[in-house]
Amino acid sequence: MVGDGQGLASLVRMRHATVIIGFALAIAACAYKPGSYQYPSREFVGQRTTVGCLDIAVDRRTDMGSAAVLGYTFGNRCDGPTVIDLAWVNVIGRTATGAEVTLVPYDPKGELTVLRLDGRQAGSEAISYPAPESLGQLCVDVASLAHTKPAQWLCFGNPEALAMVTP
Amino acid sequence: MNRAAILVAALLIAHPHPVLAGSTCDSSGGGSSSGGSSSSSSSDSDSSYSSSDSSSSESSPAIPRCHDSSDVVGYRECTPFGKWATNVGLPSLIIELGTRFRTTASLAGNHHGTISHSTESFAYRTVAAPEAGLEQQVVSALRLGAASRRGVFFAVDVELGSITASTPTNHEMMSSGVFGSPTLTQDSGMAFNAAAVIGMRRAFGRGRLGVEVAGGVRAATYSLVSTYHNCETTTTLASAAPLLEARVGYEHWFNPFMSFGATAGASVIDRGSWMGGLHIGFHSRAFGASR
Repeated sequence: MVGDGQGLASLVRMRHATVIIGFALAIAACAYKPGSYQYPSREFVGQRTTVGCLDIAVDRRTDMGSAAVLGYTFGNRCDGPTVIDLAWVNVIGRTATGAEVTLVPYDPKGELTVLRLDGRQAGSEAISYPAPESLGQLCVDVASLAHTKPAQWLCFGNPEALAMVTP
Repeated sequence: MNRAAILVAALLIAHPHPVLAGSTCDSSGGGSSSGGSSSSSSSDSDSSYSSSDSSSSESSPAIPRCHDSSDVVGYRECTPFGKWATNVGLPSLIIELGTRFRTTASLAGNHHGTISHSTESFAYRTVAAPEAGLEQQVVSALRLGAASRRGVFFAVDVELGSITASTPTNHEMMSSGVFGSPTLTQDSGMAFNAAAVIGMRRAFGRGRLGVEVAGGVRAATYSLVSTYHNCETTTTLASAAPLLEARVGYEHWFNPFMSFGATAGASVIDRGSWMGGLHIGFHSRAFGASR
């Protein structure tokens, strides 16, 4: 009986230790590793670059009507919070005729604002940019996203146009 | 007792919401992963649902609280913009699990009580021996707390363990019966300590140095075995006293959310009482939001 009790006690201890170790590993996996572009439940899709404390991936998605849509995924390389400004990030579109259009995010609820991403964390947002007509090219200054200079432009073609051209 | 402490801690850490947010890692859950299409599914934990093109919705028996067909800002309803940033506004929560060794004055002395053998009852008293040293305790410790960005933290410490070396206590019987007086001997003891803690930690290399003050109560129970004629019975003596300690500590970061630390301290009201301990810490914000 005593032996059984001791065995049960050690089994319970082992299970508790397993829970604690498993939890510790889960927490360890939750820290964004600088330059990794990997984070649980986040997929860094698109063009990747680094601006200040941020590892950023930007992807042009399928347009919603004439509005272009950009998907932003960002990971904080630093130990402390860093600024992310999706409200005032510089985005420029070019129409098929070559006209340049400064784009403003679609924000009917007035949600967009400057926020801070905590150290070693990651996040993502998708934002649409209404335009008078379908845009052939879209460029975003990712440096303005992090309030840094000089400008760092990433440009994207229209994925629908590319799909139509590609046999 | 160690198992009880671990169980409590395991239960606490098994439900880390809201800050230690399980599978999504950040407390916010965020907008969503970019799925290459504006109709891609939302991965937000609050919505607890995926869009219709996700197979996970078929296997989930839960009724969705909210459903978004798009994760694009302005078109989604379930997840507000910038939920990934909510963590910044919260203090860093602390969970620490550890083991501590204590030497402290015994609480077994200067008590009155009665003990019964069959129909006879005997009064007794305990007297601390003048030359008695300090008793030793080995306890499991759990700390729950919150830290500000300036490094100031508040926490609650709970300790539960055994008295591994007790000090000699004189037991005097104050009454006698038909067969004389029972003989009292002290058996095992258990310790329970609880304290509120305030302190400050500052980054120091890959770790943090800290000072803290803990105030609360320390309690102990002692088993007394009474032998009278052919009868043996056990009674428990419980006692409590205030606890006030000054401590210093260092913790080293394993990774941004986990630390390993050591603490040492001394009582400011019980002469010669001191403590030391080791712990593993879990933090809801990177490096305890101290960098």
